[in-house]
Amino acid sequence: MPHRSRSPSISRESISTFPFQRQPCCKGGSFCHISQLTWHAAFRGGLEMLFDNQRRHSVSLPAVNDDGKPATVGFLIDYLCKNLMKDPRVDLFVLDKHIRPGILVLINDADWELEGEEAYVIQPHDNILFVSTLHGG
Amino acid sequence: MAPALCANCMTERAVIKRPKNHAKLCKACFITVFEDEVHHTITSSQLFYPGEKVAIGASGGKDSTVLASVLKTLNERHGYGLELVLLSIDEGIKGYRDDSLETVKRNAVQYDMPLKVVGYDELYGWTMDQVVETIGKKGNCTYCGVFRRQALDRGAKMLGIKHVVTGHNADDVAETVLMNLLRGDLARLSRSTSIVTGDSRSEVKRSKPLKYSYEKEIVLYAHHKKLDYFSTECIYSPEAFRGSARGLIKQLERVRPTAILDIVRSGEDMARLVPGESSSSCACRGQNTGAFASAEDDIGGCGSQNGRTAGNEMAVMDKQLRDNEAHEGLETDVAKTMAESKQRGHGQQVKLGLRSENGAPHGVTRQILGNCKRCGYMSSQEICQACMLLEGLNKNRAKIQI
Repeated sequence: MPHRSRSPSISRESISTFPFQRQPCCKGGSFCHISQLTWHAAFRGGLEMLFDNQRRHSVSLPAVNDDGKPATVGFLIDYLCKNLMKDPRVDLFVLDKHIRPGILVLINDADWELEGEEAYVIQPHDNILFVSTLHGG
Repeated sequence: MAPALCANCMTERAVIKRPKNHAKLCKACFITVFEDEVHHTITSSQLFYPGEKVAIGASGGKDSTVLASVLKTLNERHGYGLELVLLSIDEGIKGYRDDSLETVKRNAVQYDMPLKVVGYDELYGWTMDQVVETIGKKGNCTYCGVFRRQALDRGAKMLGIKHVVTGHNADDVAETVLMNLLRGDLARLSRSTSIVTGDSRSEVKRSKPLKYSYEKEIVLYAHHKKLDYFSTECIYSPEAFRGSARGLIKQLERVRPTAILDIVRSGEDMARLVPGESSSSCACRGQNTGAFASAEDDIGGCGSQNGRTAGNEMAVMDKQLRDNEAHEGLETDVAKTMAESKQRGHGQQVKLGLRSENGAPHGVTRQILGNCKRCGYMSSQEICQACMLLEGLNKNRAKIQI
């Protein structure tokens, strides 16, 4: 059985320029065959408080989901909740298995409604921004 | 999926899908269209006159930041001749307002506008932190709302300004319409839809130039113009009822984005049924120039959320009583009203009598809108609400000190 490294590797300082990173296996020094996609997530409008008060994250995640299909934004949102969110209040981000109404998702600055929403397949270097409209000033 | 092209310029990649009409626009076209629509609202409602000094109620949040940016742009582009000033209220909430005030200070530099900060402590001798320390978190929003309403007016007066604009957007108005509908408060529903509040009696008028702008577009405008704004929730704020209304609005928007403006329009149409109130969907639609409502009911609210508190029921009730008296002759039951309206035909306004909680028409006690004997602020009581609240607070403080 091939070893799969599923732990998120998150660097907060700089953003990797090489999107596909080969993850070293823990044994034997060989490389896994599972590509990891480096993807840039940003949170604004108050959402950053759910993610360690950090506005920008560079996230490496599996390029395919559990069914072996290419990673979509929907998969990423789920992944974010499970791996990156520090706050227990998941429902402030995801409600009924979908992104909470009132949170805007921008894929490379375009409204995700133009890109197929959750079904959008993540491309290398994609910038995905989550902005809440729900908070006042 | 091939990227969609902008429906306007047909050359750039579309990055926005407009909630009001599903139009796909590129960044530049979106910014232009957004500004043009606010310009249309301003001109069709004749919000300003040349040379007017206008204070922008600035919280540092997205709405007021966008408002300041758009007004500056339009003022220069269309030669409104406005003198714009940022007016901020410092409620005295550590870890919330002090941070957002820093944003406002940066905005003042970015937009080259003078900034005036008025603190609850200097006006009332109390910061909200102290109020909460004394009365607890429950009900503190009432104090904050009552104080803020006056604070904006007083701040404007200090500056010699008679017009305050606030960043209330279409979502805020829809939310308030819905809340008042659910409360059965038609009088306030009507007022909340007015673009301008404050009549000849009040010295400072309020208006909402972003009343028809979607919150989503405001956030996107701020994003694409890279505006510097602050977003966090007031640490004392959670109010369940408004939160529910807000959640409902956002869910409706998801299913049917036009719902928000439709609710605003429905609110305006309902407002026409309320005695003495009038509000128009857009002033260009008719010749309505009476889009004024009582300033007493214009609640600044917390951040973007207008009408958060229900602290001014007394004043509202008074006005309502007076209105009802005037319209008593027109009071009918619904069935009769419908029959009558058929007879009258279209185009004539139908006045519905307002009823109190027990369902009976209000008894009438004539009360005159005057000024508070203590602070001089407009009030229908001898002592205005802020002074009443302060009296209670001061008694408590005395007790604590003893």
